[in-house]
Amino acid sequence: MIQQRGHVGRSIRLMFSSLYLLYLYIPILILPIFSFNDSFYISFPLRGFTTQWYAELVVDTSIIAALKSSVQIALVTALVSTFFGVITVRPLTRYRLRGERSILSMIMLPIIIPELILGISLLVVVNEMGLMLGKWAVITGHTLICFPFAVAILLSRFEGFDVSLEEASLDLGEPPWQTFWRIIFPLAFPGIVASFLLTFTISFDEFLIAFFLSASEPTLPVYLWGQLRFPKKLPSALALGSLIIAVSFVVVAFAEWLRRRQSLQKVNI
Amino acid sequence: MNEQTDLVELRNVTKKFDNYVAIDDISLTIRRGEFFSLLGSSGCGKSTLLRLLAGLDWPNAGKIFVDGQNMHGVPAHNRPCNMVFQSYAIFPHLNVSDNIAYGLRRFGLSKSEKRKRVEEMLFTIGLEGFGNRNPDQLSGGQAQRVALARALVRQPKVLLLDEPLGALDKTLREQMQVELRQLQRSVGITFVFVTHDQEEALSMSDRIAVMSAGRVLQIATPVDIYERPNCVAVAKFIGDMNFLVAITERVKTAGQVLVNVEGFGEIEFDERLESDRPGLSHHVAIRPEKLTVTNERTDAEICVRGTVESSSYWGDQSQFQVSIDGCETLLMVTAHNLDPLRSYYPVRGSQVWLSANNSALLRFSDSEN
Amino acid sequence: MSGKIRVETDIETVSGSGNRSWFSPSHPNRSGYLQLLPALILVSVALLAPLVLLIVTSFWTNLGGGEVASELTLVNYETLLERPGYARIILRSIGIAACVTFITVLLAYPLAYFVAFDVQKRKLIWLLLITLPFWTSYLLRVFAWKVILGWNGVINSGLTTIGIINEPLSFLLYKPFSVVVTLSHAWATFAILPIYLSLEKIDHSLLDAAADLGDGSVQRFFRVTLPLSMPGVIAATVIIFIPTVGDYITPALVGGPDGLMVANLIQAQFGKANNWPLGAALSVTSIATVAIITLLFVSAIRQFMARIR
Repeated sequence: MIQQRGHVGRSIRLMFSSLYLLYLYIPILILPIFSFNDSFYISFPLRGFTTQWYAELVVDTSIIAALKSSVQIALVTALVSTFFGVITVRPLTRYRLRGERSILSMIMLPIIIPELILGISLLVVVNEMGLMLGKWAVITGHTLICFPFAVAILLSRFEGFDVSLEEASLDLGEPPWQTFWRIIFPLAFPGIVASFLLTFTISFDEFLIAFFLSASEPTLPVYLWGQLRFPKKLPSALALGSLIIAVSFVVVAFAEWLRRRQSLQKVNI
Repeated sequence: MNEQTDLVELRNVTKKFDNYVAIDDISLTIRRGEFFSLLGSSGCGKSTLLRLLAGLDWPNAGKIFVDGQNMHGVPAHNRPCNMVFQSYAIFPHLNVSDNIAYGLRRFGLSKSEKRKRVEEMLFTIGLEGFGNRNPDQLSGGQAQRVALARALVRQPKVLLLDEPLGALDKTLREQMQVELRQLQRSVGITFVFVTHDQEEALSMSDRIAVMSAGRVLQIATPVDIYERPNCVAVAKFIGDMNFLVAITERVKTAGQVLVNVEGFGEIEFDERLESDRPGLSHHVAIRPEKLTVTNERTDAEICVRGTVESSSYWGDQSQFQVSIDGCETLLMVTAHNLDPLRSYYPVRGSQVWLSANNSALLRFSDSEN
Repeated sequence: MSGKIRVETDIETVSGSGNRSWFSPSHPNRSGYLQLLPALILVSVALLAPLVLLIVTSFWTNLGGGEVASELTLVNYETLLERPGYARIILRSIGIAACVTFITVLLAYPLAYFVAFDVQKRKLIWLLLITLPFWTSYLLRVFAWKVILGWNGVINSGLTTIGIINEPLSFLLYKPFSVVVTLSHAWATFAILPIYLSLEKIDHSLLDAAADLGDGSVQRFFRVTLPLSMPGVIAATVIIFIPTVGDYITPALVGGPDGLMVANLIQAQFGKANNWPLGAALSVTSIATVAIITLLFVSAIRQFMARIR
């Protein structure tokens, strides 16, 4: 290691990085701060602490309905994406298949294509086929964008997986299905949980595709969008937003910790 | 194949990966209860062969029989073979006892029976009381034994070992070599052992198959492999060997051959090679330890003068590079240092006499294979 | 003799026997592709088919009142070419995206460098902190910026309270400026991570060798570190640029009429204007434009890198 790495340079970088990190978090922290502010206006100076905006949330039936929709959709999306993720990642890491890179690129495509395009093209399909908008359409759209994330998370998990563990299990007399349940699944479980949690969060937070496809059963973000037009509703929108952020934070922090903790451990001896 | 003595038979087995031929038309038999080694450098196909036996990979052509049963179509989990993997493949989420008991599930044993077997196994491998330990608490040698126990507890017909001692340090490896050999003798199971370490193979095996580039070069006992290699490749691979250029001079009617060996002169051999004819250029070889270095002429069958070009002292042995007249190659000579301080010890530049017996010479008709 | 009949079958002629496992290693490719089938079906049904249908729709015409004529024409594309407004918005979107990409990558690089080189023990925490904001609702983050930049918003009221300004700053919100600021924030994590990964991979002994050969720290950075981190920088650029061009939420909330981007235009066609074919044509045009620009950019970089070797 180079000993004479400039300490001055290091301190400057530390300062810059800390400021930048702060800048990353400021918008996220603004919402909770003002959600406890006793005022309809989101501006300084702060006028006093209150929890009334949160109290308003609890009794609002449309919010509860939207919350239910969001949770249902997110649960199904997470389950389906993670399941598809597992059965897709296994052959990709187990065998050397030709055309692997193109398949993977195609799977990852939805991350890069603007959500708007995905939303409207699904809208066009639903319309042409005469299907209904609503929860199942949203689930399809969300699965489409969550699936690449599930694959990305599970891929890094499965790629470090020691194939000889699976072979040893077969060699010791366990048929493929037993091998999966006794060896592969337990060892991949943290990754599966992480994938589930993260896809849940993505679906829960997602706005644009739900906006196009949810019709009369709005998800929470779609509902929130509708509230933004009313100034009187602004603080309670802040409260709602803060809650959503808090939940996402906890879920994601846990999932990321799980994922990175596993990647720092070696799986085999 | 003789079903009484033979347990495993490979018949014209070939394995290709795309266009790369890993196993090239191999046929061999492995006897019941023997310690059989597959020896070769990396890439020769020995591990592939083992995997074919285990059922983890399937041949493109040929047949594999274990105890008279054709293994075609039989998946790995139904075969009477068990494998000790090079990386041990200990299941990290199970403790030692559960690892060892893993393969017992389909035998339908009762819990107490399973526990008994595991305990016995732990005792056999010298890890009593380790049952509750987690894999990350095991040393390399201990993990290796757990892998062994896990396979042995199923009492397979064949135990396959894929370079199991490769990751251990020298002392531990030598100790394990002895233990493995004793273990094999006491349980009587056929071991098929893959290694690239020739000393390992020589010390542990009943028979060795030397492999190179997907082919078996020679199958013989350790002594035969070492003393009577059947081709230059095997001779070069096992131990050190001196090669001298030779030309056949005359083939006598009684079968003896007169050969002119560079540096050694005319030598008469009792057996002739198939390709022997006057003028045939070939190689004659001799092991370094079969040459003796003295400062006076001896009455050995071969005795020539030479100069010591270099000498290396290794404590119990010494190695000398000696040049002799009429010979382009330097001869390597090894000798035990019985009393180097008091008896004659050649150094660089010493004029010496090299002695050897005719019977120590080997003839090879091929140049490289 | 045991009297057992040994059935010898030739490998070539046996079809699936009862023992042959679906996971059999003899046909790894076949079972591998089979296992990938569900994913491929999902992608085809949910992604490819809709996109194809979108392209087809762009060739239809709008008859008003929600009716469309399904003969294939180029009418929509002609409309896009004739009316300058569309081209202007597309160009503005590209310009904004380019700005955002440049700023974000520029600011992200020092942070990525910091975590890769200066942080030894707490890398996990830094990476976690950097990734977390990304996972929160995008909508909420943009909304937060709206609140921050507003006329009576956080910045203005804060500065007024402290006494730095007397009148609220008007340039903060509902301008292209606001869109750039907001978007630079939104994609920060997607810029930091790729750059971090490629910096992390750099072999430190290369830097030691450069120092040994006489390079000071600034020179070492420009001659060794920067070039080796280019793959990450390029990845970050592409990852940010492409979705930013098509972003809807940010211009909708903070852009105002001057900050409108192509996504808002597209959404209007599917909403109030109710001209789906035109919207589809606009989508196709945007995607094609972005794809072409990206390909040109990436190949230009490749040629540049090849030339300086």
